[in-house]
Amino acid sequence: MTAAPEQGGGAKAGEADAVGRFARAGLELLGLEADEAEIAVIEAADRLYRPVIERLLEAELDGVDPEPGADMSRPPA
Amino acid sequence: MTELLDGTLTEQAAAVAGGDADPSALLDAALARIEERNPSVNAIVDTFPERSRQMLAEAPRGPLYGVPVAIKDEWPLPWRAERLGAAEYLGPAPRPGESGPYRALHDAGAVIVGVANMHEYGAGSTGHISAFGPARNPWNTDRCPGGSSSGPGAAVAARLVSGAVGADGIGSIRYPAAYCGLTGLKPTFGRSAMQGHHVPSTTTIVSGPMCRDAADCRLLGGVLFGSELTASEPRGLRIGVVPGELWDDCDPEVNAACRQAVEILREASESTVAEVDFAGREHVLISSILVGSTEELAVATPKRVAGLGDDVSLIARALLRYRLLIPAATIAKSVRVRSLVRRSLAELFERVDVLAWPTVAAPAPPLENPTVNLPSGAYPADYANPRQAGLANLAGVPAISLPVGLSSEGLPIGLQLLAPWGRDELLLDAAEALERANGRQWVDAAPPLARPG
Repeated sequence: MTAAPEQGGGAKAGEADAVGRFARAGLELLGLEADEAEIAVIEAADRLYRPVIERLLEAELDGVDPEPGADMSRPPA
Repeated sequence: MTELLDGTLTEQAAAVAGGDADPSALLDAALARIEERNPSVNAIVDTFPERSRQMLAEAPRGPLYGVPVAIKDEWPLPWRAERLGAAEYLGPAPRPGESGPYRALHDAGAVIVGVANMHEYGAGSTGHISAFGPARNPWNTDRCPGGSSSGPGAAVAARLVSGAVGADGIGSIRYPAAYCGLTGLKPTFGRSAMQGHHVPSTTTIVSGPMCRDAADCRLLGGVLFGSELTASEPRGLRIGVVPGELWDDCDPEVNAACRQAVEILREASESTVAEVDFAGREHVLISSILVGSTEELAVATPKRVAGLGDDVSLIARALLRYRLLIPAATIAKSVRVRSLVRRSLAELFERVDVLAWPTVAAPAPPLENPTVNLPSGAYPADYANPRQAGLANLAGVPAISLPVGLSSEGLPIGLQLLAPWGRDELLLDAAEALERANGRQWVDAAPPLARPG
């Protein structure tokens, strides 16, 4: 993630709370803490990226053959 | 010597090679220019005059003999480890050494006069965050210079040097090139020197030249490639434009300037323009970020993230934590998107020679609030920019950003061209054709602080 999230698109307060709770709990499992400012940034980032992440997760890509060992300097074989 | 310092890399190399300029005097002039002008732009974060003089004394008579250049704070030098624009390392502390770009510059006879600033950890497209303080855009020092190669962009635009080496993992050469009115080449993956980079297993990051015009990128790019990049006259190009958000969700001034530039290129090269598309376009933004950041931040384990102190930015500390919470399925899906767009591009490049769209959707945003206003709404520049530039890194193809205008606020506008794998020279040819057709109006434009007198 690269964004400096200072604005986002209209998430509901409840959703932000849920993201905050998820973030705190998930980070705790990883042995990490996050302060209020960090959680606020995470919530803002999630408002931005959640829609594109959800669209990616819903995308039908099973028919796309992977490129094991792909050489990025060349077109696909 | 000041006049030559304002010249292009090609002019400087020719003057030194022809005996018309003393390289020692040129080096001293460059160091004096950095001392005088760098406080306004914070482009150069470290100079080492004695090392530079030693480089000159030992320089072979290569294509850049005696020419001052800068290098992004992303590679080790024999006397300095990279800092990545950050106060703390995410992984093990690097050591000084001979990186690929250093060796290429050294063997070409170039003189490294400074290390250039960059966005913290390379994780941003604006350059407004760095342990060294933000680099500033020479066209308006309250604006972002672009990132993550912020310092190379600001240094060349401010005429501190005429060429700099940047790195591009998700557009990091092309954003500052567009914001600062420069020409920046993101080479085909694997074609330019990368040895010694802190992400040795990268499949997205490349080194590349950032200069004023395409001829200079050809010169510096050839040094980084280790082979001359020959020039040809582009005739009968098949130019593809992709309808939709890549054009339509851009600032109207950016859209207009880039459309005009494509039309000028079409006329100048007796080319054709056709609307085309590629599969997976809607997932390029997130996939390029996920693939790139997964590789770049592989060392960012929970333990290491926990150990970062307050001298690392709040944004970095928070987003490193957020990244650890991203579902693994998205990474796998991003890899599938990568295969999808690579296959689709391979087919598309059978029908077109180059693709064209704006490098960034809006001119350089304010440092204090790097938000861009687009027809679809206001977004952090870091969110909007990978949509425009991420494709080239995801697919491995070359891309170039070249200046094609100024906004009503006097900020540069950049057009991006993409070509098939290995056709980097075609991008330089097309960029030179457009420069000529424009009478070099935009590549020779100087920001206010770099104008003579």
